[in-house]
Amino acid sequence: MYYDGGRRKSIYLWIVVLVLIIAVLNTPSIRRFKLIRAARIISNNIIFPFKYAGTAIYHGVTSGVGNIIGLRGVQKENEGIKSEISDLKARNLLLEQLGRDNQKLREMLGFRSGYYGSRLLPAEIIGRSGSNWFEVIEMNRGAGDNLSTDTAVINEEGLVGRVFEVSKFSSKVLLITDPSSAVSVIDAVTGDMGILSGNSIGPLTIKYMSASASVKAGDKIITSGMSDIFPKGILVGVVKSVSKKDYDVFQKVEVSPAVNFSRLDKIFAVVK
Amino acid sequence: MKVFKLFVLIMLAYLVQTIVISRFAILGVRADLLLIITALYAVTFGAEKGFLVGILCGSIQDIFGTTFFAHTIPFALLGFLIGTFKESVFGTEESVAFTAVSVAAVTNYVFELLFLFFFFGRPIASPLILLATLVISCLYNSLLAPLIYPLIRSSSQYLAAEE
Repeated sequence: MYYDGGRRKSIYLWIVVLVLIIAVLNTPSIRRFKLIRAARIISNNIIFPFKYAGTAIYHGVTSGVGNIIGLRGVQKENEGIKSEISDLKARNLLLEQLGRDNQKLREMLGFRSGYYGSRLLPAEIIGRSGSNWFEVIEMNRGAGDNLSTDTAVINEEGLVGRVFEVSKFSSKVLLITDPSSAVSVIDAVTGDMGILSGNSIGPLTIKYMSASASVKAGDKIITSGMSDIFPKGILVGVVKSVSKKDYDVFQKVEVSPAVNFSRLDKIFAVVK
Repeated sequence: MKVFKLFVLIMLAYLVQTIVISRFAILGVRADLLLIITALYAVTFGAEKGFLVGILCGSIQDIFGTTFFAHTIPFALLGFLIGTFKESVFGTEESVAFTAVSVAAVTNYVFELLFLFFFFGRPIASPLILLATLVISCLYNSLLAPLIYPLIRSSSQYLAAEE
């Protein structure tokens, strides 16, 4: 070894100091000051321009390469898209009318829904957690866009997650695939309820699904609307497998997420 | 000044990690560029520098990530341990990069698992998922190591020349 015993001792001392700091920072009285959160928000604001520029460069390079590769079939694809757009426009008109009718009827009946009065704020992903322990993404919308914590985030496929940390220009989203995520869900077919949580890799799991529930593989799972965070009816996934033992109070339900998280790019915050 | 330059280089690595590398997951598992850098610095320059780089890499992950000190201490310990045992365990051949990063991936996984569970009360996935993540993470990081090793060497030569 090229370093002496004194230096080794100082390294041991540093390790002890770091462990003490972590223990102190995790005491409830220190946590109450929210000092750490404030420090992180400042650091996020500082790094935002670099992440934003880096993402723009990344997209520039990848889309440039993709354009060159995909140039061949572009005319045929364009025609297909044009026809799809006109079809979707027609459907959209019909849905808008149905939505207005639905809202009017709900108002007449005194119903309230999380969707009404909400708008979809488009956002772009500028970073992902580098660690395999956290399923977190960062998007280019923050407090400046009237975004607050506990805002639901979706994309065209279904539920993505919820905002848990907001800085001035960006915010962090806890994906539903994170083990600490919990979403109240129902089986769209049977109406059975449960709490969905993630596993980092592999399918999602529904906890506390009653053993008497008649949920089966292939059923669609949607948000229940029981919390203030997620509006009711957002597609979460499809039941992959159900297993229960005779003596279990709850059954184990595995759900394949509707969203392809490995190709996540454009997302929308459901701003109330 | 040298530490500041090292910090800038690690910040660049962090940006590459969050913007580019994290998009290329294998079965949901991402490679950890900062872990690879810590292991390679430790195996190249010993425990003291490994410890310093470990603190820098870990704290950057923590400051811009989700939990304070969940990575700093495991990374610092990792840098120190790999640096300490670099000659007795890994030898001095060029192939050490692959071995060191494999060992680092496994060690760091265990450290972080314990830290997140005991200090942060983080829910832990099932043993099968943990094992799958560990194996994929170990292989993925080790395969990237030989590509990054020359960069570590040239960056350290640049820093030495500047001094």
